[in-house]
Amino acid sequence: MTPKMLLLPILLPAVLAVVLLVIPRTLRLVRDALALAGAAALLYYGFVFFSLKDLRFNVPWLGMGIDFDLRLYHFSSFILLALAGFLILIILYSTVKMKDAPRAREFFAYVFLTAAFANGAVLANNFVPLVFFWEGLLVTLYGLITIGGRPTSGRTAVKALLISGFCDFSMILGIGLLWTVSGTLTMSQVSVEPTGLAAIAFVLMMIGAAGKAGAMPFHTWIPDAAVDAPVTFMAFLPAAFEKLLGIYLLARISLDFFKLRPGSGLSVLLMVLGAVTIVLAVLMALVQKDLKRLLSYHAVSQVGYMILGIGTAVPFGIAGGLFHMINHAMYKCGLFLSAGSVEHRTGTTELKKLGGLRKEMPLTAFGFTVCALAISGVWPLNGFVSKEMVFHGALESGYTVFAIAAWVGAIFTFASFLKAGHSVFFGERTREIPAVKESQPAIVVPILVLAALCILFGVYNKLPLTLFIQPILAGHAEAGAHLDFTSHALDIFNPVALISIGCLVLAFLLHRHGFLKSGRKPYLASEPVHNLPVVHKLYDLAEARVFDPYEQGIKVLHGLSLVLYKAVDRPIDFVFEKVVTVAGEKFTAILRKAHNGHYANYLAWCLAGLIIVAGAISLLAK
Amino acid sequence: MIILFVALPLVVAGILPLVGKVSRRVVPDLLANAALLFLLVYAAIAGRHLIAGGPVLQQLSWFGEPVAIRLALDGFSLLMLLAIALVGLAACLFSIDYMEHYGAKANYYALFLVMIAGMNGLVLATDLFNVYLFMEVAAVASYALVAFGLGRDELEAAFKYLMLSVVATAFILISVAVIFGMTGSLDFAAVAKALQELNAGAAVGVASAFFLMGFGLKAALIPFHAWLPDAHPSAPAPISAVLSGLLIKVSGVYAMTRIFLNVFGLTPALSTVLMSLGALSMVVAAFLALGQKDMKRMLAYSSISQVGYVVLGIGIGTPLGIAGGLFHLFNHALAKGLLFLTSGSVQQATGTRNLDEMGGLAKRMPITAATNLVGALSIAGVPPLNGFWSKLIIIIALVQSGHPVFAVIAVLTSVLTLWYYLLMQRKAFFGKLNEKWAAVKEAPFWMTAATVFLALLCVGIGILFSSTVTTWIQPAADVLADGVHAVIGSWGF
Amino acid sequence: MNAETIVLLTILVPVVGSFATPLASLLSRRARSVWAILVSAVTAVLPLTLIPLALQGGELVVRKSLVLGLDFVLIIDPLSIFMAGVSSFVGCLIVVYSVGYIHKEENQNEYYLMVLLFIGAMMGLVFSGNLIFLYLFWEIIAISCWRLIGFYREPAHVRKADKAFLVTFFGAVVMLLGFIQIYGVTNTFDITAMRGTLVPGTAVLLILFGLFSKSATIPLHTWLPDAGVAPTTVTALLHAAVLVKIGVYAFARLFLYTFRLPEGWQQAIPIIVVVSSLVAAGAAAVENDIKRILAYSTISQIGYIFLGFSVANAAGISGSLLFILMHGLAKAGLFLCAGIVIHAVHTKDIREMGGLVKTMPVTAIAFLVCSFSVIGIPPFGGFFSKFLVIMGTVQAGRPWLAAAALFTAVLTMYYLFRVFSLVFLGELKHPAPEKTKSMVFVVAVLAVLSLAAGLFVAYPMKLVNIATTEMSWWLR
Repeated sequence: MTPKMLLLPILLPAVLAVVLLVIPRTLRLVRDALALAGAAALLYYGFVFFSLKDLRFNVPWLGMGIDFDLRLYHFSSFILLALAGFLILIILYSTVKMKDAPRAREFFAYVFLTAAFANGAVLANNFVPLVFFWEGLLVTLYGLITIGGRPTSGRTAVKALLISGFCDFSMILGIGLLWTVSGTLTMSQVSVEPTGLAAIAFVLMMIGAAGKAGAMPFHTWIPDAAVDAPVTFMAFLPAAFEKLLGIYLLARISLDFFKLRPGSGLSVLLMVLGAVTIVLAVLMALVQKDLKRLLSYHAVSQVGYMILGIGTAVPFGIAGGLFHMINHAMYKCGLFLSAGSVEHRTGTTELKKLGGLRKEMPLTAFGFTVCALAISGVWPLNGFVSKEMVFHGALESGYTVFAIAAWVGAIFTFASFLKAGHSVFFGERTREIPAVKESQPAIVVPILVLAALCILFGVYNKLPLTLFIQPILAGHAEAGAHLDFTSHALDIFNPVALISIGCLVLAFLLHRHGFLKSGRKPYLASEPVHNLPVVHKLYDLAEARVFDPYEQGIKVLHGLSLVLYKAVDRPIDFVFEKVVTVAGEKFTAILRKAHNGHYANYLAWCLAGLIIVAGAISLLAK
Repeated sequence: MIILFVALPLVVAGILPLVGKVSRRVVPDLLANAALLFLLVYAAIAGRHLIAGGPVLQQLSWFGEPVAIRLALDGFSLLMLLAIALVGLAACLFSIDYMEHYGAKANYYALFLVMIAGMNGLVLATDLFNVYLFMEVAAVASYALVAFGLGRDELEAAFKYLMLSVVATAFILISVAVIFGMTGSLDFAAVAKALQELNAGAAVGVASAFFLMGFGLKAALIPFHAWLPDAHPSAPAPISAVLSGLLIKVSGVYAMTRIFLNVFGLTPALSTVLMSLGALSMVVAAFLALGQKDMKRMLAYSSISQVGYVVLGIGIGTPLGIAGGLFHLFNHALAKGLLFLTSGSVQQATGTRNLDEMGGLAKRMPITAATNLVGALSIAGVPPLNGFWSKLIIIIALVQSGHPVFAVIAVLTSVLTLWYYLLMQRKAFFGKLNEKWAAVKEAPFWMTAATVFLALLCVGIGILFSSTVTTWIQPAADVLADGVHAVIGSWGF
Repeated sequence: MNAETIVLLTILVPVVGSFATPLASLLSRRARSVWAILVSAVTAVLPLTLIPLALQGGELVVRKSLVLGLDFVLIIDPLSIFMAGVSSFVGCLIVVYSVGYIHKEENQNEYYLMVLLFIGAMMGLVFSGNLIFLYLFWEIIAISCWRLIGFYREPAHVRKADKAFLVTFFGAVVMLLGFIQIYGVTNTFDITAMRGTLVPGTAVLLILFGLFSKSATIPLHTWLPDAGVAPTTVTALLHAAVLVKIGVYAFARLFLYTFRLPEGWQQAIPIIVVVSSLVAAGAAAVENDIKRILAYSTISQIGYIFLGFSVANAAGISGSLLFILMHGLAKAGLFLCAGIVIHAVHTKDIREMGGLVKTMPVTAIAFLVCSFSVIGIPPFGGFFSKFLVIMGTVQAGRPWLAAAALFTAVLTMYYLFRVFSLVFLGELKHPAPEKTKSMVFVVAVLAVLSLAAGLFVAYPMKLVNIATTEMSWWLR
């Protein structure tokens, strides 16, 4: 294994992307086979790299300390492996789901390109290659959303691009500051105290990471994309890849680049961000009437747990956040894929139109149920474990309020999934949808694999925790004793877990209440919450995108542009166009008037001139 | 044989009316152009040999008896002779086709050559009275030439020109008389010497003021300029070219420069007055040009403005300033001559001088348009044309001699200059073709040839500015700068 | 051939070649086109042969003395070679595109003459080592620019051409005053002789007038959007390859290579250019004429180039140099794409276009790629240049300016995607296909180059780094 091999996870998918782009539409089978083979190869190398752990590739690039520097170590190899795993599932799924899509070629190309960029970003050990790959994802993000092909897809794509672009530019600024503070761009050499300028750098870089992960307030394109983009995209980017990357970077920022201390201002800032994201997004998710939109808000909400976990700056919380990252990627990907499976057969994801599909699509229903229970944090699935760790971390950090926020999130998460599952797979079969069959194996297999992993990671949680998570923290956890996964976290009988279970019960009651009150229509089960006096107004405003920072931001941008144009640019032009010319004309007109063609007049000027000249000469001569 | 510069054109002018009886066209054309071509070659080749060892003096004699006319050739005179020959030749070539419809070509050439002879004489004269004499010779011919078309406007313009010129010459004559009265001599060198010893401040001051007004009027410096915008446009185009390109410079700027720098000596007071007058002319005339609709009037005002530059440059009094002024004088002669000739082409083709009625003529008259563009950009001071270098030298001289304000004015005026020339370009040549002129054709051969000749000179001098400056301008400036040193050093008010 | 001959040829081939185009047209129209392409191609290749020399570092000064200290001086160093290479190359591509674009118009002789003269004067300017010759070529460019802007001869167009000429001429003569003031201090116009001296503050102000007027920076910028009335090829030439790059090049040549800026100006210039960049981006977001939008975008991007140069550290300078290349490629691509679109739909108003991705996919993709590059999104070339400029600004201790510049980048994204969405996405309003092959070929080449310049950035960067170290003598 030479260091050059590190280029493989970047170049292989990139080359494959180009190849897939040029393969003609008629050779669909070749394309699918090639894509699967490529993804499989990446997965294989993911395992190889994971076993290797330590590898460094460094060539000079731009000078000034900007090298093309790649580094494989435990954390990056873990993310690399996870990315490859999700990639192959998505590819497998897409071979059926995207079969007839008009721009399928592009889709596969973008997916592999995304994989290339993502792998590059994970491997980068210098901030410039990091930004290069990180920001490069914007291109595929834009491309993938436009593939949705709906009239509003273009708009949503631009929205995603602008929000992500804003976050990435913030990160660039943060990196610039960090460079100035630390004097180096090599990531493994940077470790500064987050004070003064460095604190600003921290916040800016955090915006970049949180924006990629889709935390509030940088999340608003995700629900829109859920409608406008292909569902495979949702499972691929917002659910899996972007979460992994965003949280990967956030973890590195908090652990490596800056020394984040528990209880410090920045730690609290992160926790606030996490808690707010959890609660607000889940409240939005609760009232959604469309399965994809509902899932997309959860994709936002769950980021909150991860950020909260990392933000505690307590080893146990950080481990929880990271574990939640991988867990969430699995079940959210599974959920989106099941939603896609439903959409694939029924042609819709509107809760109102769906119902009772468990008989016709049992495997999808099973996968969905497992994933939904996992995301809701039901014992013994993986979501339970990671959420518990986050709760513990929050409590350990001394800010109980954040733990409460997390619990509130848990209540509504479960409630909304009860609603969703009930509406789609259980309850009564609606007449609007004709009889359907279970989806093809290529669609079902990824869902089942993910569901199985959810169970595996929940039941045998020590496996991922010791294999993946613990080594990440090695060297960062100041007191190793805290990282005892055998004690409270995984035990169902401890106060924290009991509160969590209480939350789940509450959620069940809430759903039942809503269900009964709305005349046994599960899709209306959230209406009691929706219709609460003040909350209702807030929801209406939210639906009108009043709280969408993007919509407001665009208004500000437009207004600012208008001001700059009308107040600066046009007046300057006015000076050139009007003031100068009119002044010239006016002055000329006066002069012309004096030249009236009278001889006497001219003679008088001559004589006057003579007198003045004579006077001037004698005056000056004195 | 310096006398040739005066005698040859005079002799040919005398023959021409007689020849005209025999051949109305070909022979007068040939004769006049041959005479000017000879003058050009003589000035360009022989002239430099003549003065290689310093200024040459030639005492005229009548049957062995010396008469009171002495001609001198130095670097400055030679530069002027060259300019006169160049522009004169171009105008003369242009006349071959242009004067066809005026008739009386032989008489025209005769007057033309008399004017050339007068200017050559003035340039070579060595005493104040001869200056006056030759000035009047040239002026009288020019009155006739302005009125040559015999139209109402032409006559009125010629009359106005005549009347104001007479005032100017009257003051010059008074001043000459005063100087003679004080020094008992009219010879430049003798007067200069006598004035140094005399130390008569007030009288010299008044004489300077009179000279300034007289020559200023000839040079059309503001406020003595009002005759020019009437006179120059009214004359036939080649005459306008000579008037604007040469006459105002020879009988105005040259005479003024020669007297102030080599005879009176440039005192700081005089320098300030000259520079102020120059700057005033420059700016005001530029604004006036901006408002013109008549192409030739615009050019006429532009001449005033450019003479302002020349006077400003010479008025600085430093060797560099003088060189710049003279270089600009030379360049302006070529470029303005060129512009007036092209305006003649346009007028002949379209029958109008009104810019608003033209439009897109570049389509129909590409060569005229191109040469006009060269002239316009040259005067505006756009590199790499010749006008740029002379303005550059003037501005450098202004900054170096500690007159940044004048430098800024000069620079901004060149923007104004470009502005009105762009206006002219836009209205006349650049732009959509006015349907009215769909049938217009390019100017006849000789007219085009004359403009191309001058345009090539403008470009050529711009590119070879360095050798032009060293060969022609520097010797001329040296003559004046030497004079400054010689006189300023010991004499003042 | 030694370097001196190559440089002289680089200047003379296009200049002489330009005046020979009318002669070529006497043979046939095709001969003229071939001639024009040939001349521009030779001009593009010649500087490339100098790259090995540039990579060695060091400079070569050629001098021919003339009167009054107006010596003809050529500086052959990595900076000039880089600049010459970039602009002649983009210029050549634009000439190729022109063959398809203007083949039906009148005044083609003048067009090719002026375009080649334009490129030739640019080459002259780039290698000039004398302030006056710098100014001379500067104005030759202004003349050809004036003729080209008024190419269609519409009254309004000619007016805009005059405006452009007058504003830039105004700036230039003021700059000339600045040069003369420097002459007053150093007694020479020879750049190499005055290297290392401190320049007077007023001279900086005067010179900045010229640079800002040519490079269209606030408050002397409004002629540039107005110049959009020119044929698109010309606007591409103005914006991407030659005209607006002159100002920034001269800035680098004068205030980095030659002088040290006075302290106050070091503080002020970055602020001015960032404001300019921001205002232009705002205007671009408001305009509806596609060419005006792109023109404002140029003004905005020029601000970055100035910013990188004016913060004057290694990252900033190399970023700006790289920016010249990247912006040249991408902006030429954008304009030429716009040209194809305008040619097809006969309107410049983006609100009247739509859905063109269906009928002109190559153009759409090229436009998208170039947009990404201009915004500064990897893997396209524009990323590196913008990134380095921002890094340089932060390192110079001006994080607020860097933040403003990044905000401008967000605005850039906003308005460019506004254009892209309105023109290429949505409902198809004018079903017009992509026509001439040479035009589509050129935009495709530019898009591919924008990508390649990003992927293989290390190669141009090598030259840029050497140029940076060569010129920033005070950093050594």
